[in-house]
Amino acid sequence: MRLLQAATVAGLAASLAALAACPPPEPELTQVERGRNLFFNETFAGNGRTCGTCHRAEDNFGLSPAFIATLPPTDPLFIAETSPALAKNFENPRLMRQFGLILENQDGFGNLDSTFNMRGVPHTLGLATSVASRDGPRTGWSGDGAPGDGSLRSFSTGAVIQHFTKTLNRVPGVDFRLPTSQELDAMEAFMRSTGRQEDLTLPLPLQGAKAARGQLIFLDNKLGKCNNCHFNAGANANPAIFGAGVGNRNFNTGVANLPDKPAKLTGELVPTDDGFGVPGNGEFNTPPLVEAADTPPFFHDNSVATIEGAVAFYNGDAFNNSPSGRLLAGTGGGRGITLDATQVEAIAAFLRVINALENIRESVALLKEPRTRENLRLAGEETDDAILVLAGAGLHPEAVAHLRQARDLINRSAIERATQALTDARAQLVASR
Amino acid sequence: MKRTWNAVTLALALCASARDARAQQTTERFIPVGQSPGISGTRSYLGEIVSVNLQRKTFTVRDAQGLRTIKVAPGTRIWLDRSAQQLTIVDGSMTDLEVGRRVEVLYVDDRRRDTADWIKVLVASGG
Repeated sequence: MRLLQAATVAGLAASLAALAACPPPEPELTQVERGRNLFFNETFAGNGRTCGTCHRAEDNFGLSPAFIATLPPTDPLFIAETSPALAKNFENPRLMRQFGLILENQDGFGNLDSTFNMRGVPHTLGLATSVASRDGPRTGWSGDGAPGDGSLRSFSTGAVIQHFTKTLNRVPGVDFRLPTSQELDAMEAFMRSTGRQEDLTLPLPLQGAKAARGQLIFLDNKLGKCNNCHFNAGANANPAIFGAGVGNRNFNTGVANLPDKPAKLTGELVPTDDGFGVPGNGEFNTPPLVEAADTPPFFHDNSVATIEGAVAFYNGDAFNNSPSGRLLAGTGGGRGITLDATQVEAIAAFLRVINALENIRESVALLKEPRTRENLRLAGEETDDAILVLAGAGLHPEAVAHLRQARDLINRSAIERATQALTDARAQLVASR
Repeated sequence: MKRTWNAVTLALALCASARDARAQQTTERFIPVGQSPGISGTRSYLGEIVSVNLQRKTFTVRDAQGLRTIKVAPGTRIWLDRSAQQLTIVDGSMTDLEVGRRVEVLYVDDRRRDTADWIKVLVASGG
């Protein structure tokens, strides 16, 4: 018996020694972490692009011309400039570099020379709040961006087919591989995790007179009328008008009829984008506004560069002659929306302030995460964005000073003091309830 | 004024996008038989063609549940899945619905389960 005990102890000791010699097990990744890895690293055996090629974390998960200008020529974004098989009818490099426009074939692949759309890259922030609608999920600029069941989960499959292919034959297993079911699950989990997880509840107790006035105009059903379609400055329609559970909606706001669109001024072929469906009905879905100010350019075709210009769009003939504009005008025959320049700027100031508040929220959240170089970098970039959107219109110089201080402290990894500076900046923008 | 505003809100509610949200068909065609996300295995029929009636524009599929007769509507898209031969997926027609071929059929909606929204026809080697 004692011999048996000795043998058992010896065996146990050997097992423990073997265990100690093994490397520690890799921590199991969460679904969101797996999705993040796929989003930024997985090429799906295609042309080298990943989801993150166009939805850049450094550019608020979108893609602006200013950011594109910083990329090396070898970046897979520019695959049409380096791969002979994709040199024609895959992208328009001139429009991509100047305006951040990506070529899409929502209306079919039958005539690649003339049937295509040039669209901007919508950011993926706050998707958890913006995809659902009473009619089913709405993805992409026109709400019909995903194959399969049309869900956000299926969107990645369509993106691989459209943007990742090695040749225009688009043969699965040759030009790319399709994401597996598990990969789709993980990427959806990641996409839903980025940015805001819930909508604001307006009105906010804003400190600045201009932004506060802008908020009132935004909410005013006789003046700005913005809250009808951008309820609480999000992507969903106002349930008081459209019914409970309405969620995201498509509207024809006449963006397609804007005169002097920058991309068309180049002389390049830019077919009119007819939006939802094939053939399209001219409708596009409603993007969230909280993240708007730091994600220019605006509208599905990147036709407006500034947030003030985007608000002013609703003053113009393109909107007021559109189906949505005419409906807002009602039966009186007047114009749907008429704002003076000061009112346009006030609404834009409101949008800039709520964007800065979201930047601050995100930055503080990142500083609470484990202190990795990536988290600090992203917190710094969020803070930079807050500075940009406020300083860009001369808003809240005191808050900007706190934000600059926070940026400096983030650079020095002084997390607690940086968080305090961000909190101080926030207090300049909005009173605590 | 209130009455005018109510009319506006009602009109907005009624007129904005009466059509249902739906999936993108243009990239769907490039997805091989049985691999459509959220569709294959849940909302489509996957089986073998056992008969075709060109005059009536119907065909019968045997899937795991039994026999189903499907209508081909004017708007039904038919695609030939040649991915097994490493060839691109192309448009097909009613005449490509041949007995013995494997197909996947997405029905239009729950009320029209006997009508195809799209049909993917698997083209075997040499087929």
